[in-house]
Amino acid sequence: MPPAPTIPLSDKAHATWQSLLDTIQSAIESTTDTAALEALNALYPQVDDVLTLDTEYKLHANTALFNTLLQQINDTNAQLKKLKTQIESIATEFDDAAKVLSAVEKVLALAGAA
Amino acid sequence: MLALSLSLLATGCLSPLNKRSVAFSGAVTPVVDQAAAAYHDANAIHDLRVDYDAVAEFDAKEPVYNPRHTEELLPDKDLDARLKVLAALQLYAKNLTAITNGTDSPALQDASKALGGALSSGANSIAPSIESSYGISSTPASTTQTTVTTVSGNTTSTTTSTSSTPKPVISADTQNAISTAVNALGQYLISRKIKKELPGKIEAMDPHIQALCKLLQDDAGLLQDQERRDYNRIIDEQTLFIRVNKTLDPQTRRTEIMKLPEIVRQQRTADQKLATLHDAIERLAKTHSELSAEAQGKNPESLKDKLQELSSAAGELGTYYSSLSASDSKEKSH
Repeated sequence: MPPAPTIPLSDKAHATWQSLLDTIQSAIESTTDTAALEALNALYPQVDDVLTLDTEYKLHANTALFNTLLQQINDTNAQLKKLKTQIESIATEFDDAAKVLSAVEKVLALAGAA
Repeated sequence: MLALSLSLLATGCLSPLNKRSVAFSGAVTPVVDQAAAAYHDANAIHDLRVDYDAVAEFDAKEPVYNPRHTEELLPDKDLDARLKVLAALQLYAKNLTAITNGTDSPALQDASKALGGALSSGANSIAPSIESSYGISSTPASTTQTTVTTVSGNTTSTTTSTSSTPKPVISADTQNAISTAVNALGQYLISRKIKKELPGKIEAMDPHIQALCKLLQDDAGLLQDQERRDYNRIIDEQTLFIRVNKTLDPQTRRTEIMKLPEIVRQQRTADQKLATLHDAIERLAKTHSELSAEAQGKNPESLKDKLQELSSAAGELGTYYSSLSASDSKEKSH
């Protein structure tokens, strides 16, 4: 077994470890001999653990990037919410204008009656 | 007419942006659903693999097996960060669709109707006094003759009075036209606001969406590799268990062997799900690029398309006008 590598693995190192695992897997799939299977199955996790650690490290590193992106999307959503409110206020202003006109009409009607 | 023309010019260009926003929103949903499922599935498969490993590791002298030392593939903190981003992405798509659909809002329609009505009503109230001041005679719209017959003992007396209601200066049809023009003006103002503010925001967001898609693809690739190894390990350990324990009773042995093809079927399904997710993320990145290009006016469109949009915007105003006429008829019938 090669010595435990540094995590994260470089692309080249990852490919090498994956290739080793594929070789072991291929050997497992091609034998029914119990002794050989036991030996290969004992070897498999030693290689696979390196690749799993690498996956876990990379997933965790991605989490930091997801958090950065979350902040950026949240900022944009806040801006869009503000824009949505401004758009909705146009309809509100029309509605307010209608109420003002209606009030003016009532005053005129009172003045006409007097 | 000016407001109507302005509205047609402004809202006519918003329609494709709304279509692209709807398309983007449609592309977001499968990514959000499938990615969330993929993260949960990957954790579940890894947990199962850890369970199988436990059987193999339990009897080992070195290291002594301790279930407390097992780790999750994607701990809650990491999973939560991803689910929050997916939820924020969904909200972004929802906001875009709502904003680009802003010119056709029921609130604006109601406000236009109210303002149109107030303008007409005001004109109808003021007009008679202006006509009177300038000595203009208004044409009566309707004349009502009332005859009252009074019988007192043997005497019958009849009194006839005539009253007329002046015809409103602003007819119901004209009022509807005013409301439609007000609505067109509102649509124009909203479109102008959207066109001024939204394209920049979409364009600024595009690199983040592309980065997010790349990150999701990267995650999906990592999960796919991990799941493949986890499944292989599960199959290998199950196979070894059956081969080593040759003294299993026939029925148990049969049941254990039959589990193997079922595990392979699960592996294929999981692999297929991640392949589908991969395609969905690609589509998401593409639809946002198209949306960004549309917002910047970079998409080449033929004159015919533009004319169709103008025609469609005119149609929307026509529909609004018809809805006013229909509501008038209902009010009159009551």
